[in-house]
Amino acid sequence: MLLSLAKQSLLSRKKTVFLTFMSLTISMLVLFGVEHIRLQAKESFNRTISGTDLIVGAPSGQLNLLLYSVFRIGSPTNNIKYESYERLENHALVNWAIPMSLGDSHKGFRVLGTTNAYFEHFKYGTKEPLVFADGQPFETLFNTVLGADVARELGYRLDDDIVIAHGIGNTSFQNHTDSPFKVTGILEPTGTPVDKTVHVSLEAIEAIHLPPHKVKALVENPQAFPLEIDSVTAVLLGLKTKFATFTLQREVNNDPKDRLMAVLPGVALSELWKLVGNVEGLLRAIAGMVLISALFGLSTMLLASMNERQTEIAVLRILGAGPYKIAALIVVEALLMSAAAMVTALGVLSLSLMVLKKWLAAEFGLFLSANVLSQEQFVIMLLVMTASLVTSLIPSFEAYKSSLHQRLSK
Amino acid sequence: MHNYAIEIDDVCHSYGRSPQATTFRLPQWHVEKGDKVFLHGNSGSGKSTLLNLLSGVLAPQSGSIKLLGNNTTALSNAKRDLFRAQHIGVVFQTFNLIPYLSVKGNIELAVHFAKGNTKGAKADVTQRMLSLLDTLKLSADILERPVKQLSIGQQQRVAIVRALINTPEILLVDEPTSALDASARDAFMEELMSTATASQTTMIFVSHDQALSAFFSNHTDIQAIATLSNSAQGGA
Repeated sequence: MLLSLAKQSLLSRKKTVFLTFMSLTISMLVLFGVEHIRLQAKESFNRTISGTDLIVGAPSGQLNLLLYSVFRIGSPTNNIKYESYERLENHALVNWAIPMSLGDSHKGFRVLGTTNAYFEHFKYGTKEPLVFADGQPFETLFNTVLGADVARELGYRLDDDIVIAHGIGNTSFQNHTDSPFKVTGILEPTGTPVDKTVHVSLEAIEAIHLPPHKVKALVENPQAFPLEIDSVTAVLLGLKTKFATFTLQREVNNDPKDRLMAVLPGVALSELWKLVGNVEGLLRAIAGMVLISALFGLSTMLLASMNERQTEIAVLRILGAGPYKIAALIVVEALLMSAAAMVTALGVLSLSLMVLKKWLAAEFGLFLSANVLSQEQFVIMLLVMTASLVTSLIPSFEAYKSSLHQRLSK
Repeated sequence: MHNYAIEIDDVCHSYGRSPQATTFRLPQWHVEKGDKVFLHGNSGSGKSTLLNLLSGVLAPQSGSIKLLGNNTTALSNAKRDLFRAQHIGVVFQTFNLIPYLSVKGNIELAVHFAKGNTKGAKADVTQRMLSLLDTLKLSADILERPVKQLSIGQQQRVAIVRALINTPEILLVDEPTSALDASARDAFMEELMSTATASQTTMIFVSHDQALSAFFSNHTDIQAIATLSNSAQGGA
């Protein structure tokens, strides 16, 4: 009865109720949006690399090495000697090694020089391997394997000829048409930066940096002359046993022949979270304050309506409603509005994520799920309802007081 | 022992605690069961204070008010609210109904708050609702209409249905005709009187309109039974 009374009462004040409802909805949209993106971004980063025990690169920040080699963001690191990769690959503790050579692009997508070990050993998410949607790994020099997004967005199919040039960016001055690559494979989508990567062999990376006449010679005959690989950007290592991780890390860091640095992906990621933790906290605080201000708006609306509702309260009193019931009516009204705003906000958030999913992935590399309900979100929903309850006590107390002093006639 | 509907003994109520507060005193007053009292007096003579005290919305500082043999001044606030819901019907001057509910919603609200009242199941309530509407010359299809669409006269009749739905023993009526024109007023009064007589309800009818006194046999001047004074002067 109280619930239907509260509902009818809110419906009778459509204009103020609607405006308050809008402000509540928008503020909850901000709160749940921030929280969802925060959780999902973390998950999306965490799932990008899995099963790799060490990343070896030139000494720089461990975070920088991780971001550049795995996420393809941040500033380029120095290269390490190719012999260092060979030594690591043959190391007694190492199970597999994936060399990575970065620094070039194809129509805005990064080009990664690697070996077929990449398709065999690279894992993401919960140790999921890369799967070919079409085709196979590269076999000869001018072969390439495309990430799912690259193929989809550029409209490439198997056996298409594409041009890969030196440099990063959409338009390159050294963009020459005489280094044609054949697409031999297209990968299944992974929801990681792999989808936005053009994979070629290490030799191919060397080839595209050659002067045009040499490239031409190679195109005509790939065996025209031997290609010397002298450096790689980073090496991903999988060890035979996890216990060897720290031993090998120390050994690599103290390598006498090359200047190397080995980082544990998990440790580097946690450094990243520490770094963005402050920004996260700030965003959450802002979202929280926006919500609190909206709740005060709700409180104000209910409080302001108290004057026009004196007769209504008088009628309820005379029918035998005690002051507590009238106070409860106000609380129920507030909670009804909050709940309605919450459902709307979550619905709108989920819907807009569904629509914007692709764009967010393309533009920011954020792979967000449209399912906005998580355990963390439930905690926040509970907090929101509690906060609504607490702020509604202000107008509710006012209703209690005024119903105590309510007279039958004026 | 006499069977009174209302027995007031030495009631004193002050508005506020300051020495200048207005104090209402009523030494002695009783009303027989089934009586219909026309309570008149100038405005500001304490009529609405008496109604507030009788309904239990106000509790007196001292003295006792016995309704149907129950000392309501001794009851807790919540019990007094329930007693009012179950045994007292009230019709105000205007604004008797909650504007955003339908006629039916308003009447059902009265039934809801009188819960614990064993007087009827749901079917009985509907039956009583329809028969009251009929007595008050309202058609049954008015039930689903929003209160806002009714005329003042119709609203006042619905207010009587609402006030009588729980078959209260006591009906308090406060200037119900002030917003009605003369012909509507007389029709309203006749229906009110006949409905109350049919249900043997004790009625306190407050008005300063002497023209209405013709409908009543028991006339009481509030100034004859009670005093409303400024305690600073009265106490000296």
